[in-house]
Amino acid sequence: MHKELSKTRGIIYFVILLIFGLLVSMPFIWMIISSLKEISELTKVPPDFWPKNPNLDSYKAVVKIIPFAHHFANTIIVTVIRTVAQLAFCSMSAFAFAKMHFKGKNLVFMILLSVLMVPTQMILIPNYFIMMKLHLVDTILGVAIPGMFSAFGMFLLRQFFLSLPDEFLEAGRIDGCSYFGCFKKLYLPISTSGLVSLLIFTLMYSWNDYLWPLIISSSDKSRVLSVGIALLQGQNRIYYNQIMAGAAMATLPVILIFIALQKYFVEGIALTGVKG
Amino acid sequence: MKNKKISTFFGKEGTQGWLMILPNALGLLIFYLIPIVCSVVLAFYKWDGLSKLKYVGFANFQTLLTDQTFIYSLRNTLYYSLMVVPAIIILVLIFGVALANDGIFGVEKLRTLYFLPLMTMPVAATLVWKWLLNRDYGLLNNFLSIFNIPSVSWISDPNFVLISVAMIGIWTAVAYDLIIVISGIKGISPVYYEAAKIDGATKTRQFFSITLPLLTPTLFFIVITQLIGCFQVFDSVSIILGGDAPPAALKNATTTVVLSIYQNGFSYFKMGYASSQSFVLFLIILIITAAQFKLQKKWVHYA
Amino acid sequence: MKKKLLLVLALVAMISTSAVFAQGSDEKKDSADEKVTINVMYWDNVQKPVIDQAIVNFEAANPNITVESSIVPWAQYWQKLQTSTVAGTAPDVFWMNVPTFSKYANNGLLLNLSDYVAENNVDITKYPSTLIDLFTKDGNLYAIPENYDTIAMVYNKALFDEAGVDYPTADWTWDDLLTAAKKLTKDTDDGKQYGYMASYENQSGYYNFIASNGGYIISDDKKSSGFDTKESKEAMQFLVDMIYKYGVSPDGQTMLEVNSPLDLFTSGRVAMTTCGDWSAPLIRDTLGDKADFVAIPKSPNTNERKVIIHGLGWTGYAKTKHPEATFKFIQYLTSKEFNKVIGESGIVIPAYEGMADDWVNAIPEYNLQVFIDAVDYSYPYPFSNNTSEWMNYEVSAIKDAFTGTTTSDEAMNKIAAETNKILSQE
Repeated sequence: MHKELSKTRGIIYFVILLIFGLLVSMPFIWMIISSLKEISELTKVPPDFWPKNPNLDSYKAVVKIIPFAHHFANTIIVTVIRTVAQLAFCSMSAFAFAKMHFKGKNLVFMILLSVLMVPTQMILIPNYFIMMKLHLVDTILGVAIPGMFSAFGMFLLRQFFLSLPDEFLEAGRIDGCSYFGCFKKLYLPISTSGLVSLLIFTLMYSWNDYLWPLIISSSDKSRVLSVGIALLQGQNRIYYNQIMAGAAMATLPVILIFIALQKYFVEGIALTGVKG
Repeated sequence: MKNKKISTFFGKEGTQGWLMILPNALGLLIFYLIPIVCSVVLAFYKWDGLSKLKYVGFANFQTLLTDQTFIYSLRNTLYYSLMVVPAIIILVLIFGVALANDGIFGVEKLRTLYFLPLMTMPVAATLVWKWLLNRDYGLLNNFLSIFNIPSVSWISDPNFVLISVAMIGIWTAVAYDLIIVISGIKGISPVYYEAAKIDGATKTRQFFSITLPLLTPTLFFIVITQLIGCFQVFDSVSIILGGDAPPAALKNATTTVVLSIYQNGFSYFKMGYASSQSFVLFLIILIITAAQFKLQKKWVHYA
Repeated sequence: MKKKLLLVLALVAMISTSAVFAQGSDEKKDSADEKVTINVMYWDNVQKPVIDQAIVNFEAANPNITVESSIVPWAQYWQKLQTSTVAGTAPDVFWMNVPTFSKYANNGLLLNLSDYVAENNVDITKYPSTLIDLFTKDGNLYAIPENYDTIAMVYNKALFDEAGVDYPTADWTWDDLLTAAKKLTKDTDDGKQYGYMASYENQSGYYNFIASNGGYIISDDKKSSGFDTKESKEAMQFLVDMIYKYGVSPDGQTMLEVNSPLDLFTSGRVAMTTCGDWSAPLIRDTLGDKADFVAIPKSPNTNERKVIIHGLGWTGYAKTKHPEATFKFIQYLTSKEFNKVIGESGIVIPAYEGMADDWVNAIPEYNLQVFIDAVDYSYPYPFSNNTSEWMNYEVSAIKDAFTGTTTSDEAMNKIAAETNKILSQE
């Protein structure tokens, strides 16, 4: 859409968006700059913007203090489990809610959606207890499992499917394929943008998830990055530059994945409308 | 009649439908719904999290009615939501349209900039915001001084702290929602725009007649999820307020419901009371969400 | 249909609710040669090397016991402890502090160490008696101190030199403090320099002034607040006056704007303030040898000084499956030989008498001995069954006084009233 912008117009928009983009990403930039500073520069009032002697000491310190690579691996495993599960479970249920008709559908949808309306803090203790009964305390599975199911993802994809035409389903049914079959063969292929959106959401949410992983894990066996970095805060001694360094290292792979996934935005969706 | 009912519940369509829903529903039931029910039941008890439960009926709810902190927290949470949700919608539309435009030079790289907020770990992000919002040395006030706007005490003035928390909330949420809006815009078939162009419609007209209406399912999703999210805001408020005990004036102007729940449950050992607050919050969100669903017929267009 | 669904949900809810809150019984099984694993939990990453060392040493001496350790960030420590206690999976050995002690002890969640102490001839007089008292309930000991914290005054020598003012001495009273602070307050190129920072923190700030002046924070019988006594009010008024009457201290709002009030000191904007021993490493990393420590000034009204003493204790879970092993580990962690290791690490002041020298020598430029001497004039950290509820109110209200939102008198009265109300509900 709008591919016919004049070159000057394109560049003007670029500059404007760049300025706003820099403003928006200022906190991120500040985080990176802080990670290169000494602790005295971070507690200094007033702080200087640029570091006096930019160095990677904080990064080295972080890797020495916490088993970064181990937490990193754990985080990847947890994220992969959750993302794959959510993509599968949420897309199936979303499709059923969006395109199929059966009694009780709307009530169940609202009940499941209501899961979002209770603060996580209240769910922690019962979940911990359940995990204990299942002997999954301090395990990677224990961290991952509650995040495999999502009312949010189900809602997101339901809205998405609702915006896709019903004609495909009708055509598929006439051709004799099951609901699940139609879902798999006809709708999934044209759902890339919705699925990629959910993928990104689940990825980010899982990567930054803090409270539940904290409660369920007690050792590095199952500890994830967000908890590892929080450990850099002692009760009274908070070395901010280390926290920033840890956060920066934790974010780098995500940025890389993001740039890779950008392609799916660009390629867009092969939705050809009601071509028939 | 009875046969018909059974067939539509467990008929071919019904069975398949329930089966497709089952995995997600089962997981949500075990790990979310049951704990929620536990928490609701807990609201009728007094429990310090360590010793025996004591049944107290509606006592917790009665206390709620006169709990000043809780009432303030409800008010603040409402103000916060009213600031954040409309701001998100407006910003996400403006930037969404702009960034979805592949004709702009270097737009893919630009997009990454806008997504950085959601890639910044919350613990780091909020610390950084605190520095940026500093009254004397923060970059925001430095920026405002260029336009001769006087310094604002973003994190120590009760009149402004909630706005600061809202800024952080908007900043994070827009980044997340840009993803779905951009993919939503890209999902609109170019056929519509070509037809409109042939009819001589201006870009603005195209936006309001094609883009906006077709985005309404996405916007509906954003409104619902962001409202639910706003009502549960916790992390950013907690860090901006710097812990459990900010000055009373600041606290009354900024504390939110989940903050109050957390403090009561885990700092003051009043799990039952915290559960009752949680239940009230849940009811409020439920009513607002249900109302939104009813209202959606008025403004949401599905294909 | 809807009815059936709701009925099923209700049944499930009832069953699971009773399951969640039923606590399983734990049998104590312990035999001397059985292979046993115990869990230890604490919050400060900074002490990890020290505790890891303890585990290594202990496992070497006790080959049939394995120790698994777990660190939890401070901000969520209590939540995690509570959650695992409810579920019956509390760690065997863990850190306990004074404010939270009552709650856990009164609920019978802590292992009674008195018998073990007697059997093994552990000499509890070697630990600060105030701390032992704080960790004792009904004559039984429930935690053994690991370290202790006291408070002193820290000052910026460079600023003193520049202004030509003599360094603080142990003879100072509040009047001397004020005089010096006035001379050290001035405008500079990039803002204002203050002579003293009247921090709005309690343990490292105003509690010490209240105690020095003969006031108190909470009565010994835990039934009433001491904030409305003349002595307490006098102390608080002095601090607030330093901000608003004499202008020698930054105000509350300035302190709110930074991450921690101590930042104002470490960045050289304030010449003196009070702080805890835990801040020494940070001050070394920022001001280096430009700073030093001295005892806090005495109150001119009582001619006395008192500082808050607080400490962490190692405690055991009452329902641990391995009480023998649990106590053995606690005994090792608090032993004389291990306290020496703690002292050498220079991180915290070991609780065992006489082992603190290594900590004192860890930063030779500083007069850290003052923190050790402070034990002699210490005042126990205040607590009750529900400490955090009234303490949070108190800190909030004091911040209001320090930001000028209320007067000192108003704040003190409000605190007393609210604290009394909360205490009466305990």
